[in-house]
Amino acid sequence: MASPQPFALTASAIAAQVRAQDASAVEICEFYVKRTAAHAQTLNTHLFFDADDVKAQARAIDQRVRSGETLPLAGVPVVVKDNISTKGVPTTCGSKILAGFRPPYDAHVVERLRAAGAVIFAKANCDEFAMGSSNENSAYGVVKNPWNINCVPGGSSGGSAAAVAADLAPIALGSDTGGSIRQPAALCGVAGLKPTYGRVSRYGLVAYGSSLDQIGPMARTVQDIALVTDVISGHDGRDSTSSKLAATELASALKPGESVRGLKIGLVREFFGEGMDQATRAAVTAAIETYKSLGAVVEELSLPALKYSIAAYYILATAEASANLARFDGVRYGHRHQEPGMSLKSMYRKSRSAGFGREVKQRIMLGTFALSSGYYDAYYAKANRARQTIANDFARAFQQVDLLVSPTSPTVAFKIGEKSQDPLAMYLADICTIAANLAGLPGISIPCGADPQGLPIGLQLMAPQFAEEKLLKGAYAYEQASQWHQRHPSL
Amino acid sequence: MPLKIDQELVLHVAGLANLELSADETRYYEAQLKKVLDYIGMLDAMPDELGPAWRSDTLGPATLERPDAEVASLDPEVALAGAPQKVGSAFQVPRIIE
Repeated sequence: MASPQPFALTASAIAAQVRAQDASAVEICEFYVKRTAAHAQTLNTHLFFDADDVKAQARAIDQRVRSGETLPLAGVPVVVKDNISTKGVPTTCGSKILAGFRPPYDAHVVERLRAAGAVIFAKANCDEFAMGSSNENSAYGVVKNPWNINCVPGGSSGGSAAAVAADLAPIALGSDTGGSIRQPAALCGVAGLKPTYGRVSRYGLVAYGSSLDQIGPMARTVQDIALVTDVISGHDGRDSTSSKLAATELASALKPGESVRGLKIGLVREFFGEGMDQATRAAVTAAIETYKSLGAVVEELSLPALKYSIAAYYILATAEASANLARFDGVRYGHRHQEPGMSLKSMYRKSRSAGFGREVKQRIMLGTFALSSGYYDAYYAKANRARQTIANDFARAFQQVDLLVSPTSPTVAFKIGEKSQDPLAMYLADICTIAANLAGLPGISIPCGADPQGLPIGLQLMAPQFAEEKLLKGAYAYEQASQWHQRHPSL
Repeated sequence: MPLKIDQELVLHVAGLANLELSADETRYYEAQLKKVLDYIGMLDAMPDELGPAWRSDTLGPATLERPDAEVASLDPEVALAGAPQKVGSAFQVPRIIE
């Protein structure tokens, strides 16, 4: 291989080397297989990993390259969150209820990745059905943060973020319903993008909150985020909410040294309130100063409805979850309680009660309550009005500025167990990310600092719907002016 | 939003959600739902700028419809591959008609 350590390479560089046949996909994958064997168990990042299958995929990609195919992700290993369907490969959503389930089809994003020459490398641990902010809700154990294994990696895409941070793969896919890509990316010191709702097909994503869910990439660099987003974006008729708006090519739009002079960035006052730790405030403030030094114009804004975002989210997301998760009943797939002479109703109830974990049951019940007779108007209808009010606040803000900036998380990674007995405290960890899902906006988290113990801090940028190019250009400008994305944890 | 969360309501909601709860779980969820719904009660204080005519179901992007065209479906054996119990080409469930 004509390269330094592959983990010093970006996905863009790996794909370029494999396309040029300077390195083979097999060589690249052998490196990541060794690294995975050394670290994945300690970090508990992976729920499924088959080294033989990885090597077989890599050999097939080398063959495609030799036959002249031009593959944008040639030989790039991608770890896929375990709530994204992979044909014939276990997909558990981090739940006992789907233990051993092998989907009969690939998700749209997985089809796109395979076609682009990526290696579907492993399935990543996650909070059960993507419900959580710490990865402590996985039925298969908590993922450890590579920067400090006593700390959580964030969630729900904690395995995906930790895998990229630990250089077990250059790219991972996550899903984001209330911050589940951006918050773990921040806590693990990598970049993570939640695209605009409708930009990436949800076909094959096991649904949590269908009007909020969105698949997106995690990577070390903004350029790699752009490369993968280009591959997975675009219309798919199998997702009725998939946008027909043509996706602009992002990777080629990012130009080194391109000025952000005159870019208007809004600093959202409500995201700098109580509960933010000192190191996060200092790092985000310093990042804003960097933008000013690059010529961006930063102004403070208020979006008063944001304070209702968590309350609205935990009604709307759980209401949708209560309907989406009704399909897990022990009939077509997953765990089934077996007992002679049992009624159908009893089978449903016992199967679900044994299969779902504590937090999932809580959210199903909360959503069922919000939709139940007598409470719908007081909760669900009111939460919908809050959602629209929040979206209106964003629309007004984007008449004044190009991008909005905030911390991604008010704190760095917290200790495992610190918040797990208090779900409401855990919900509040998503204070900075949830509103983008309610309004369907794209948001990205990029590394912007570290606390005195070295735990990463993330900067969030948000843009109007389908303004991913503007968003990534803004993120790329900061990345080029900083070195935070070049830090690697010692393992 | 005057609301009394008690064990009776928790068990009623669990029943609607097809869940069975142990006594410990019932106590746990009673406390959790109280706490979370108390927090969510802040929505009552939200100034409403939308007006009485606003409806959530008339806004937002139009749901696109697929063309009404025939497409291949899963083979029965593939669809049944993950079934905990099956009989012939069907999913098997406990007897429904007594």
